[in-house]
Amino acid sequence: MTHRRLYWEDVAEGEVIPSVTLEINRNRIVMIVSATRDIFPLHHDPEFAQAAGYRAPAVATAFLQGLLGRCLTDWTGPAGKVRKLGLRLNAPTLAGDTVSAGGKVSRKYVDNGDHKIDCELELIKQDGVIAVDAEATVVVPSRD
Amino acid sequence: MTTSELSPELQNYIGRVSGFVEGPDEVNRAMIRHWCEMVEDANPLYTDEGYAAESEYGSVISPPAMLSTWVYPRWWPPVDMPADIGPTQLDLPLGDLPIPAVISWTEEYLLPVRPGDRIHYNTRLDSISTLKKTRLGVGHFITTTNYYYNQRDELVGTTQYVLYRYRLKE
Repeated sequence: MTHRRLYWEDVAEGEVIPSVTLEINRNRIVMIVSATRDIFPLHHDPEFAQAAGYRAPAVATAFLQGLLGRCLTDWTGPAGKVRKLGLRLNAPTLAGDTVSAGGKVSRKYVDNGDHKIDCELELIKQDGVIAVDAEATVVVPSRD
Repeated sequence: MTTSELSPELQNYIGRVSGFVEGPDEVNRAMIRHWCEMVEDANPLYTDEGYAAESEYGSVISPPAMLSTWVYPRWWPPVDMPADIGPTQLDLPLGDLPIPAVISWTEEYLLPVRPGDRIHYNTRLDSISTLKKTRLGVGHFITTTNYYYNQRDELVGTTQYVLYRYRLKE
């Protein structure tokens, strides 16, 4: 199987980073608790979540960074290296939601020999609510 | 909106660094695969042994965004550790501000993390705001950084958190 390999020279500022979409169904809720190890009841217990003012359990933040990380390396291919990932929470991502992670290239530059791309990302829910604003820096290979 | 000066006691905590906390498990392929299942991440560097062996890393690596998971406290047998990692390790004398809300966080990934690595971390208090009123309540904005190291004491990454620790408005 050949894998995508994004080169720095082929990236344009403003370019769209394709979205990846996941449904937060009950199986996903279980997988998130299991994989992140974050068993805080807000992340899986509907009664606890409702008492805390949420419609349904809210996913752990580690899931959000995992989804954004996947979005980035799906785009760059495995040679892309995520160096920095910053997230700001705007709205909780809840059981029953469907979330899409995507964004665009904000800047490309060479820094200390590294071919870097800065990205602006968003995690958007099915109703258009932006759950997370994020920014990332990835290093990708150069053709030079 | 500022409602008071920062107490000298809290001021004293700025720059303070916690003790080290060691993750419960070495970095391992099973937990990496569970993480990849969670977000349906098919990056072959994480789960394809053949591909990863031919890569610059020579073996599979942990997804960078998984870094903090390696130091997440075990659930059983119980450990005397707070439920979340990082900010609460510093045991700040905050008084009655029971509710933590993560506002934002930034991770930097400096070195690859591989199966067999042991990750430990400590936390530094970067800054703490005066008591501020927001739509949530009254509390402090607390900025801390986790520093993650491997078994060779190499810094493999950091997370800087901005947390609001607050109580509901009376």
